[in-house]
Amino acid sequence: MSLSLRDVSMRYGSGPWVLDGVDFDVDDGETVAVMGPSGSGKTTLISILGLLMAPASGSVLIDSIEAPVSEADRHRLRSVAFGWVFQTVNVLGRRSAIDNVAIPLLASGSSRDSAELAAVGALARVGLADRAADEVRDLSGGELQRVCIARALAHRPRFLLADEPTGQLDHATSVRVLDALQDLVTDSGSGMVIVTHDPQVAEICDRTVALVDGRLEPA
Amino acid sequence: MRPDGRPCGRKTRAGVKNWRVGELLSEALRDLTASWPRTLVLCVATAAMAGALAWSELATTDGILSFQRDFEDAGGNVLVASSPVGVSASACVALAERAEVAAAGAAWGGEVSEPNVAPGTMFQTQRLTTGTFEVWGAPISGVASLGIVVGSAAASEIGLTDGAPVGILGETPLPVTVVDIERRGPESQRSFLIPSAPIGRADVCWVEMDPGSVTGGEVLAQAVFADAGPDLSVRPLVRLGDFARDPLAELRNRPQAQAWTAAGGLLVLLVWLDLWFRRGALSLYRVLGTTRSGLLVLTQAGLGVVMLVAATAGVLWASATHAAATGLNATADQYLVAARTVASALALALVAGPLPALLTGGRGVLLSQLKDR
Repeated sequence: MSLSLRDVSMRYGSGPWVLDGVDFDVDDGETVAVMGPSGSGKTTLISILGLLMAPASGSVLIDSIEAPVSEADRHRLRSVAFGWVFQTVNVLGRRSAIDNVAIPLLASGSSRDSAELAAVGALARVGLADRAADEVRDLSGGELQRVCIARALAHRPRFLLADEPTGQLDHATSVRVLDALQDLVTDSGSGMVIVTHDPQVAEICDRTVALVDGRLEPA
Repeated sequence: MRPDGRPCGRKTRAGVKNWRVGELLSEALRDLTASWPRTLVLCVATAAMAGALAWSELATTDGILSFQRDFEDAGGNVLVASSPVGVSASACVALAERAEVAAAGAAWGGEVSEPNVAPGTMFQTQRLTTGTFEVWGAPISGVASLGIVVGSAAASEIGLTDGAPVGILGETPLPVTVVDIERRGPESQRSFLIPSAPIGRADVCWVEMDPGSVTGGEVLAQAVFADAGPDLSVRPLVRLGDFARDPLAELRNRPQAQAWTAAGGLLVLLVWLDLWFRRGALSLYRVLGTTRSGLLVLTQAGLGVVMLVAATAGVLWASATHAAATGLNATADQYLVAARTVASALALALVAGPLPALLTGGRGVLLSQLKDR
């Protein structure tokens, strides 16, 4: 059970190759940190992994099967297989934490009642049971990022993809968010890929790779 | 939830799990309520646009309809058929049963008579079928159709009132009914009118058509009275001159007939601006599993509720201010015209406005749209 890239290359327009023949694997339950300086192509890599973007060449394999080409099929896989945590806290403002966490469940056909039940459970797992009904604009930065983690894992995806999840948090908050991530991934058995340039984040992962000049190297 | 803890999903025909329709509509309403400032802006803009359109329609149609009413009152839908050899009275009366014919009646010119109540005063007498009175806008029935009818000019000249017995042409006195036919039969206002059966050939056949059917009525009359020979004349009682107003053409050519596209276009631009500011939220829905069609429904449902409520408020405001300004209550037809124009603008906004939602999350742009927030 794995998520893989095979000989993936990508460039924007006629610019330089951001990814140049990249091979990459992450197994179920495995956590991998992808490090590299700003502009090295980390976000492009994770976007291709999560089927948000198609590479110029090469393949994305899920359980050794090539990812589909049609947008409808990619969408189906995306919504079932992946959970996302972004560097920027992306939430629907003026809505409660429950409403935000329930969206991926609703989008996959759950009823409002069962989605909210699962959302409350996910929020409890990230320590936000008592803030579940609050509007997200009343939450702190760290609490918001934990809402995003709860949302990413509420529908129990195969893989969690996190793009600089602690990039905008202070140290103490980062530690709490990373603890929550690690606990949840261990608990759910999901694989996780974290894009980061923070060594502290990389430490919680099983292994770390570095993106240098469009190629992946062991860190 | 499934036994393995994964959520149960509903699959579309293409196999893509998607929102339940009810939940999608409920999400649209929650989104509207939560983002009330933008909802308010959309509401105010839509209400203002709908109100302005409706107000201008009511004001424009006021003038057109008032002219149309005057035109019809004066006999704008009335045709007069005559021939030197006369027209069939029974065929004339039978016209009233035809589709698009409002009333029809035959008339004979008569002799001069001296009524017994006014010795020395001579009046014209005419025989008419009762349908003629309907065409003239003064329908009679019952006892009146058995007696003598007097134009109001003649009645006031010799002091006659309803029910007074009068004898003419040497006949037994009968009770009179006074009618005012000044608008459509002014030349008969100073006449004594005798309701008669449709027998033989009448001098004139009066026909009132339904609105918009005058041209067809002319063709119909030509066919029905074909036996009246080549000198048959079928002419409108009131003819619109080349320089007179044509209310139907005015209604067709009023600026508002096209203005709904401009108003709808402005609303579309407003919706597009709103969607641009909401691109982050829309991208979030997409990345969290909402299909493009789901996003379209989500956007359209929310806009639909806001715009329908706001447009209704706008039209009500226009109706109230129009009535206050003119002192007139608009007719159902005027509301229909205004509602059709406003509905056309709204339909354009609701169809074209949400289309950019389909573009949300084109390959490679979701993450950048999310980072744009």
